[in-house]
Amino acid sequence: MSEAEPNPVDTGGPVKGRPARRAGTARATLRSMLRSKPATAGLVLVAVHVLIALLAPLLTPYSPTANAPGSALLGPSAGHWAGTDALGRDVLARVLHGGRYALTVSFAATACAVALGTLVGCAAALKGGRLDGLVMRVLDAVLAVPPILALLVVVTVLGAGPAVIVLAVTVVYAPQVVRVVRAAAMGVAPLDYVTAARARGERTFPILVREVLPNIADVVSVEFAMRASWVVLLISSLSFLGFGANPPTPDWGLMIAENRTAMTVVPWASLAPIVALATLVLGLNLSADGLAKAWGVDRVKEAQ
Amino acid sequence: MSAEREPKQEAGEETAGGAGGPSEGRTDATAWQGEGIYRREVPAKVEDLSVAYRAGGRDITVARNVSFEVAAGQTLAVVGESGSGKSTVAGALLGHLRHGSRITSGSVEVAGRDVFSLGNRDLKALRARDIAMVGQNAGNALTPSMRVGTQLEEALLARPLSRADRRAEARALLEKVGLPEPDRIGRRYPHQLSGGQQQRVAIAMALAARPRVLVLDEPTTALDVVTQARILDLVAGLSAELGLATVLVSHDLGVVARMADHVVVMREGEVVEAAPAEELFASPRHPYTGRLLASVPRVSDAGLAEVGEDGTRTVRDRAPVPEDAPDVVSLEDVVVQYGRSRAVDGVSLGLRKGEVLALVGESGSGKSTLAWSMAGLRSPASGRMRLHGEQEGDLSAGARRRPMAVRRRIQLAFQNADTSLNPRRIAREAVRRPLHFFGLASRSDADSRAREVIEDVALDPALSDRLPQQLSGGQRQRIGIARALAGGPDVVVADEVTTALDVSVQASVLALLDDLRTERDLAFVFISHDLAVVRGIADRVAVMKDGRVVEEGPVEAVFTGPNHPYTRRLLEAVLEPAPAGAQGAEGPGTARDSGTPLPGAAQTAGAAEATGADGAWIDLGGGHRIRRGGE
Repeated sequence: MSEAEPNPVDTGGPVKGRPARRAGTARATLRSMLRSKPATAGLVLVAVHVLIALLAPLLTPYSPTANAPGSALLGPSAGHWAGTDALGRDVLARVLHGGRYALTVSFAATACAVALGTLVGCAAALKGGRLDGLVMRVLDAVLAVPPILALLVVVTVLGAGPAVIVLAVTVVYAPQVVRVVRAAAMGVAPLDYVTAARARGERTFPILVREVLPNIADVVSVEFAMRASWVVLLISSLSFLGFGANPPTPDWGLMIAENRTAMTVVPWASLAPIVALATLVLGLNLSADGLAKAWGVDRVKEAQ
Repeated sequence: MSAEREPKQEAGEETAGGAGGPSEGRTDATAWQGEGIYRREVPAKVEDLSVAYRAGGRDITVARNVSFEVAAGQTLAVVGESGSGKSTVAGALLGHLRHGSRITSGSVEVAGRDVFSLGNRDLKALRARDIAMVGQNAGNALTPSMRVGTQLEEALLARPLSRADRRAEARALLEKVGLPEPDRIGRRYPHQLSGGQQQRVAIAMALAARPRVLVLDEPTTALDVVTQARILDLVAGLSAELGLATVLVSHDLGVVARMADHVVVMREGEVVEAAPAEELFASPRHPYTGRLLASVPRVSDAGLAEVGEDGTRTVRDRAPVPEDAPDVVSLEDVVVQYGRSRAVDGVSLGLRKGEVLALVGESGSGKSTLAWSMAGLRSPASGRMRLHGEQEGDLSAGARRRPMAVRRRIQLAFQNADTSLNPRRIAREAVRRPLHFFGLASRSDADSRAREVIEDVALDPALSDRLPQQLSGGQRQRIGIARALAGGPDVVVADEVTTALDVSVQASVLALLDDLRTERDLAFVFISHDLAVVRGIADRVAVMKDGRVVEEGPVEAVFTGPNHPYTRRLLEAVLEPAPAGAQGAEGPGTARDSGTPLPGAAQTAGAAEATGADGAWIDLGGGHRIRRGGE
């Protein structure tokens, strides 16, 4: 682990000199990331997507949901830069708004999956023994089920609200986070400062928060960034299959599904959301790699 | 048959070649230089070497104008404390510099060739044929997924041998480094070998290419005394037999006295003294060397040694433990199990108030397990463990199930200062937390209380604002001790707390422990494999072997004997940097041959036979007792 590392989960008291250090490491990380061109490109892509999602209503005069049968299936023009779809809605307006659903649901789902996975992974590493064995066997079972299949089952049973999707993604992806975090925590658990806390008789949760988490924060952060790109793809896939966002919500996956039949007439109606989705996933991937490099986290090693 | 004879023959040639004779059969790169040059050259020569790295826009010198040379068949030791640049010099011999470092002056010559002018290919060839290195942790140098025999055969690829010859040679090498049953060992993976065996395999690998220069970087630091003595004997024998020029890098003056013909003392990158070993140990010229030598604890000291600025040595008086001191911890027939194996097998011991009880033994003797069990990290399978006799706590419960009042009475201090503190938290936090956790200070005044505790361990509280990596090893160790003291314990379990420290720092940490003991009536369980340290600080010693206590008694009695044969063996393995004159024919540094029992040991063995059954105790009076058998 490199020294340049932020400490986001630190719960230490108000100690003098700490904030300065935290800002310093954040700056060092950023500098280290910006030195790499791919990482810079990734950060810029993600930042642009977030900005667009936030400012979408200001960027386009059209409503993303209002039908206008009179101007259906138009090609790109000065009025509609990316044309319109079968219901006459402006494609660009829908693409700009489409990030909102994907980003919020993905972010919430990733956060839940990583939080749950970190908790379980650390606990398994710290407790060891029978709990560890049990957790790992359960995980093996969950990992054997293809994510998209598991998601479809959950959504079919419980309905397709955003909350259900967040829950389902958490269940599907937490096991993979558990594996990575557990491996990292196993490296910290036998160290003497953890042993000292055990000898004091501290409970597992305080040990986890105080001693283990600050030392694997880098691994968790990289895992978050990496997992996010998978989740974005998965959630868009769900929408594409008709189990995610409900029409007329502007959503990329849904847009691709709606417009693919008119592909030959208005190719941009499906191409634009594809480009948007691809750039977001690419940006997340590049950022995760940059982050991993800046902190010296070996993703191949951690995953084993 | 031929496999066993062959290496000896070749070894003979090597000796002749190394000593300056003709080198038939050597088809390597040095042959082109011709016999004349080859005969006169020095195997390893460092001239005016300076190494620096750049940090924060300026050069920081790690080695300055270092010069020495090693003749064939000779051993040169580079001695120094951490940060002295000794490992940099060792690396430079192999043409390796740490990332960002560069040579600012001078040259390194190995086998007549300037190492740093060689291209990648030539450097590789040099490392494959002429120079080899054995590092501190051989376990890391071996590939975990490959059988050691196969690894050895791979190292032999540098020589033009057929497959069958390579296999035979690998076997012969394993035999040569004293591993029993080389065929079986060769089929094992590194993790199936003990630390000592791994070190032997690493040495065999280093010798595989029949190098002329062998660099040993702290080859025995990670090993216990008995194994250390065996490995050193092995290396000394091999380098004499093969006529190797050996460079030994070490901080352990006992090891150096045992091995070296010449000694180079380094400090902060500079050579402060270079002299033949006998001369240096008998009459060090530089005050730093004197201080260094004086700081080393000796088995003959009756107490802790204190060293003045000028190198004068005084031995501290030992504060006697009062006769009527009550027992703080009493152990009765304690058994600790790992799975089905018994790591601690029926130990009964008592620890009195204000007493230092040393637990000694080889690695795997169960001494650390016993200590961890006392600290509540592993519950014993059977037996009784009490704190303050009957009226107070039961120690056989794990830490979490002990009442708070019992928990804080027994605390741990650790060996490795690098891992004993959380690298993401400032050092004071390590002390603040137990204060708050044990309810000894409220959240608001825990910080100021922590500063006080840190002052008690003779450390500037201002330093505790730093992160652990910004502190030196000794400072971190003091914080570790402060953490153990924070709970206001009656017993501190100190697990090899001074092993990883430089001698001068070690002396000051030991003095601190001794002060704390007398000031606070603290009892210590002091785990160590360094008997000289034990002699200085302990009141009583318990020698453990295979989970049992084989001898127990007051420190004087144990160190004067008669002893259990196993204790004898430990005592014989101790290496001391003693002046040559005092040692008689044995030369500087003694490790008596562990094969021959001393008269005292024979006596005890005989006496024991007369008195009774295996495992019975022989009481020698004054609390000194020896268990029969267990050898």
